[in-house]
Amino acid sequence: MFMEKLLMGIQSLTWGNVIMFLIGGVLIYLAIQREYEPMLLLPIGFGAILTNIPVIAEVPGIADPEHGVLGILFRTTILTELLPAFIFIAVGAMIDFTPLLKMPSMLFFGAAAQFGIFFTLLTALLFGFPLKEAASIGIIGAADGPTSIFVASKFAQNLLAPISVAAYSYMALVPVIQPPVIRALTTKEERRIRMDYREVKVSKMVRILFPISVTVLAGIIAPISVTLVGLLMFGNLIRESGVLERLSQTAQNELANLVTLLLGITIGSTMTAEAFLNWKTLMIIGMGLVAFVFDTAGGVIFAKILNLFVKEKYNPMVGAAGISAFPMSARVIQKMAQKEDPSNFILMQAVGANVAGQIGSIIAGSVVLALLS
Amino acid sequence: MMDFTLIPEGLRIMAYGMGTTFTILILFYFMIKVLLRLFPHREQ
Repeated sequence: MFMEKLLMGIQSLTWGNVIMFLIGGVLIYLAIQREYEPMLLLPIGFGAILTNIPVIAEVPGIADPEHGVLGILFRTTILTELLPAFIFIAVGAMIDFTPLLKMPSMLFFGAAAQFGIFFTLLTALLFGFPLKEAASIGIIGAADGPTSIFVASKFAQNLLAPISVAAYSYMALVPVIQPPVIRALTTKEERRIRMDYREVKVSKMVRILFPISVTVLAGIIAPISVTLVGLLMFGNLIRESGVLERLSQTAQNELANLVTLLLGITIGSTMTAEAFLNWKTLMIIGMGLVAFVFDTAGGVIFAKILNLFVKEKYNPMVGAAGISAFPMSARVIQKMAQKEDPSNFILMQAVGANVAGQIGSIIAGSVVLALLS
Repeated sequence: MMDFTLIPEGLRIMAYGMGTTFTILILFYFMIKVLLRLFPHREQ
């Protein structure tokens, strides 16, 4: 009987569990060896391993919703949207909106580069996903982990794990995804366009009033955005006030680290073999790529359309920086610009567009929530 | 297997979604312009 109990775990092990151990291992490898978003992928990978350790009679699994630590965490912090909401405070405290305040026209690219969200939503519908699941898949195109998690935890909890893995993996792959799309949609002459940069100083009052104004304006137009936008801007206000350095540092460091730690492993705990190893997961991974490609295309094409009407041309690559993957996308664009012309510096414009993308992605996420709630 | 039944709804969401996102960000654009005009940076 004693031997029976010892062997129960081994006897309960399925091929699905073993495959998920390997997938968890791959995520951990990508995190450690390749440094692909290690803060999320490592906890997600380990959570996947934990949840696939066979459950035996009388011993609740770690992901059991009533008795398992990660199951309780999932029920009380993810399903209630608490952890994703907290992370917005942390993200807001980390963002410096000054590059955007200096060049507010970059907001247009921040909007255009959210096209991938809606195009992917359409694609998911075409492949037979119900509307809310399609929206959750589309939100991978927000290129913003917290927004993807927030929307998916509301609309498609069963797809939270693959959506999170796709969102964070593709964010790390922006340097690989964006350049070929940009090259396909632009000419060499367009990539060499220079943009003037005029140094504009932004007063402290503007930096303080900006988060307050955005919250009120967005809240009035789309009340459902109050959680996302409001908490992000709260974090930013703490940063910009200049009198809450300790709280700002806590939000940027301890809060961000603690929430990320718990978020990652809890999401990973949803990656059971039954939930993850199916055609839906593969399709989500594939459509995540579609989202990022069409985000990039949306920004670039919008810039090209704008150039038909303006005297001072925009470098279309700056449109691609309107994706929310900050600061990676801005660096990619600057690198591409310098490859075409070593003396062309469009980093400040790209950073402005990239910061605009962070606002754009949260607004687009709020809009999706508002349209489908 | 392609399913076209929800495509009109998806196109509607795309139109409303992109339209609303653009509208809100355009409002933010003007809001920033007004703030910069009302509270210019002063050299100390």
